[in-house]
Amino acid sequence: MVFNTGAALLDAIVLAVVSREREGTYGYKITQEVRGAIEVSESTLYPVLRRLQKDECLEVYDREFGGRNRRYYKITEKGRLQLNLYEGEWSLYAAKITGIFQGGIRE
Amino acid sequence: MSRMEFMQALERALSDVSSEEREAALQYYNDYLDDAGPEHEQEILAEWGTPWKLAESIRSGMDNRLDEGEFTESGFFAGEQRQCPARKGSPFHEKKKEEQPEKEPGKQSPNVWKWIAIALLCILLAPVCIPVVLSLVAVIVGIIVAALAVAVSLLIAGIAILLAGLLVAGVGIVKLFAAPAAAAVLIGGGLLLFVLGVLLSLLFGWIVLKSSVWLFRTVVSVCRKPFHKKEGCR
Repeated sequence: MVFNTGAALLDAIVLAVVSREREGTYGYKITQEVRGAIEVSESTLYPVLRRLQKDECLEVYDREFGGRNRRYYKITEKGRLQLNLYEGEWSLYAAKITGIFQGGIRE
Repeated sequence: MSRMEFMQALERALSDVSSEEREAALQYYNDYLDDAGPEHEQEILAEWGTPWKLAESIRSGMDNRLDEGEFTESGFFAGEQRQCPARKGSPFHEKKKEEQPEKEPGKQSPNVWKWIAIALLCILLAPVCIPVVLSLVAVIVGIIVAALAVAVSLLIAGIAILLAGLLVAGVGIVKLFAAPAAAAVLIGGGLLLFVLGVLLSLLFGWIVLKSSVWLFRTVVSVCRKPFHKKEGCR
């Protein structure tokens, strides 16, 4: 992709992806879904998830799956608020950029 | 490098971080390979790079060093400016609080005052402006109607002269044998009047027709102007 994704936008995308699963979701699946929107490497998301977890935007729990424990990520109330903030900021930002692309903002 | 070797090397590379952090990272990357399935194992290990490189990216996410870098699709870049809205007292939150009260009154008040001024001006000038504009419109309409009336009356006069010429010529023809000399004068004068009448009525008929068409078009375009103007602004 031509445009770089800043940390805030990456946080927002990850929070959005995780928030779609009520029961929570796991690292590999999150990575594949994020890859549907932007190009991230197989290892990029761990630090992001870890940080969001430390910031209490995500919580983790282990659940038995196929004879092993799989770590699940679930959005917290704080994470949901943060995601709302990001979504609001994003629509403002996107509208402004689109406005400029489509011939400038007229007062 | 096999998966087992990679994970052991990663564990060693993370020996300097807390056991909690190490366990969490190893759990994540083990899960990742399990969920991807053995068929993707080598491909993913290749993308992770060396265990030491992966350990470095894990360490970079552990503390506040993240605040100095930026994630892009191609990985983590340190040293670039970064905003972390998730943290309390982060630049993102502070900025929002500062910007909003500054921006809104600065942006809105000139507009509000402008509209108040326009409204006041309209109210104050209405008793003067409305009669002046109305009388101007009335004068213009009066002049146009008067000019049209003059043209119409001249047209009627032309037609009357034409008819009178015909009548005089007719009288001349009737009197041709009784008084030939007078009749010749009457016929000649009558025909002259007829021709004059034809010319006059043609001229003013043309003028009346043209000016009516012009007037109609002007009235229509004046009525449409406000709507056109609005469309242009949008």
